[in-house]
Amino acid sequence: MSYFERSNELFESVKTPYIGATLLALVAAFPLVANAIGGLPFLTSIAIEMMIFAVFAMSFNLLVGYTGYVSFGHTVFLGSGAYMTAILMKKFSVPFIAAAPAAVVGTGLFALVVGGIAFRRSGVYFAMITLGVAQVFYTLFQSWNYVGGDTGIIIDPPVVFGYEFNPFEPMGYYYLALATVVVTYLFTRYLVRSPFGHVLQAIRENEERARAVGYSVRTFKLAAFSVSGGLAAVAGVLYAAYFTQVAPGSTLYWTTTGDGLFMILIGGMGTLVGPIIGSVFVIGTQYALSTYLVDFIPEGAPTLIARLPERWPLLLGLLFMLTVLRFRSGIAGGLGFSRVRSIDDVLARVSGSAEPDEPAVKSDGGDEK
Amino acid sequence: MTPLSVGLGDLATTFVNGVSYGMILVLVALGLSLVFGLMGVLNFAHGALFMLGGYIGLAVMELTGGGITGFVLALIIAPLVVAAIGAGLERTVYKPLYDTEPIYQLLLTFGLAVVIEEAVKYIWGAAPPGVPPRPAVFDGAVVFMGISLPYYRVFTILLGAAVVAGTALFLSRTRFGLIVRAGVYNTDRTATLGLNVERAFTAVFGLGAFIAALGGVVYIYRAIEPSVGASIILPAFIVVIVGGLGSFWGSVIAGLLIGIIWQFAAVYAPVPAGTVIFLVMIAVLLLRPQGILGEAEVEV
Repeated sequence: MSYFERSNELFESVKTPYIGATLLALVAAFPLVANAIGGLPFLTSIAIEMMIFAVFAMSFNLLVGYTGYVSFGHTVFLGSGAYMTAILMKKFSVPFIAAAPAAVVGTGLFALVVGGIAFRRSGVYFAMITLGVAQVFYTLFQSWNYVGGDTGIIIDPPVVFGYEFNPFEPMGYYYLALATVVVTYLFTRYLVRSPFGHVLQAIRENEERARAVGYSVRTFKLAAFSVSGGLAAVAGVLYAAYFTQVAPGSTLYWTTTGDGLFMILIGGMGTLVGPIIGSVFVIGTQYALSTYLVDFIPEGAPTLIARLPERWPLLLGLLFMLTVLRFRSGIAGGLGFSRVRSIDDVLARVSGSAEPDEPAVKSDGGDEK
Repeated sequence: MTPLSVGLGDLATTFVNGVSYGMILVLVALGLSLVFGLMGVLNFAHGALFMLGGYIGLAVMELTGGGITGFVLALIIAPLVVAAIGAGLERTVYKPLYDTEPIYQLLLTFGLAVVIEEAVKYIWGAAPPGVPPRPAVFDGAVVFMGISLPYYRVFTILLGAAVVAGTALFLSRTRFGLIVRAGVYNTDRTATLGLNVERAFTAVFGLGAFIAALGGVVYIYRAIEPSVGASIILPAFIVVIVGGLGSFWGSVIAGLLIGIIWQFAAVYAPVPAGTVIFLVMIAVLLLRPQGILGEAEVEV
């Protein structure tokens, strides 16, 4: 029990809202600090990328972590959101403020169709259908001149109510992305703790039983898939707005799905904070190795050492395998977040009493009161 | 000549190219299908073993000075090395996951695919190594009924056919093959009979890696590069799904079929060939999920 007690202490400390608020304040103040030390555009742009992919990973985790279905084509919804935004803005001159919600809703409906096809099978077959759908769009968009082929679509930075976003002065983007991360986090937290979310977890734990109890599991899975796709489109909208270029290689190819899997597995699958931690970790490692490690390598170093910094995916891949083999709960698990809700916690809620005397395992993460 | 006969010649050339590409897909798909049939693992890393075979083959050719001798040595040595690596991976990395949920196996093999690709880039560099000059033996073509068949394509097709025949004989005529087939049919019951299924797992994994690496060496003259593993595994998945997961002859038929569809789509279809074969896969998954020859009941 010592493990649980220890992680509980940690959890209790994270559980207090102050920690969350302090973290948020620190993140909000980050650009000012970065500005002071002179690395503003670069460090801030890394942080923005982390936040965009945190939203993507959270959306992916809603599917993989809470329903137990692994899609290998989730990037198609990131791409869909990004492409819809770019096409609406570029080809139809729709302002960003209108294109963004249209892209999210449109992708949610698109995901409904894809889910309708893919959920006719499960397991490996489900993974292959989703991969197939994503690859169909990847190969099509790569050769379709209307959407710019391999180069993709290049748009102007969005202008919202007279405010011009500027990729070289990324403050506006930073706070837009931060707000999106917070809202997405709160939304997924609300969702997984709602009765809807509990049915999803029941499907993950035992789909047959969930069906036997009388839930229409197909409807729940479809709803989860659609919401998950729509959230991925939110990340896609941010992607288009920030990078101002939407190309098939970076938004539709299956390696982006793979990055998402890296993030949720290493961060902590099926926990609320896991995807955020994972995104920060994966992108952080990437930049730390590819940008900063280079400085430590002397000029005439042997080839194998000189090649180290650009091979950051090797390190992440090994970490990913280690996570799957040994530490399934990921970094979030190590910090005391569990993907399974304790019976004490549930009982405490049901009986309406305050905290149970001695909770055995903590809930599924977040700063719950 | 009349336009009709020219068209027929084009069709025949496309067909032969399709069979030749299909044979390479068969070489990747055989191991994929055997491993799935026996262990229930869909091995994402199998394409990476194919690519690794190509790189080790190139290294062997470099050491031995290339030419036809180098190529033949590469055809022998690279598959053996990759088979040993595959068997080692099965023992250390895959084994702990046989009893867990399939999603972890899928995730693990995906991670392994990335690791192998990155390791190859680390050792040999990320840039494509380039295509070595083809031995003079392969220059020229057989002319058959007015259709010219380049030697190298003929060689690929013959080698593929030989590997298929050899594997089929191994599975149907040897005692070990019998254990493997029994294991595919029912792993638990085979183990209960006192047969060493675990050893069969390792051996089949090694065999699959061997065949894939053979394909990788053949692929050297098409241009091997680190990303080839990731790009060949997708059509190979399509092959095993269309043929029926776990079905040996299903993989062979589907491999040739997908190869031919690919070439015809590349020449005649208004959309990319990659799109066409994925649409074929999705259609098969929805209409006949057990594939052409698959018998396994598919959980729906």
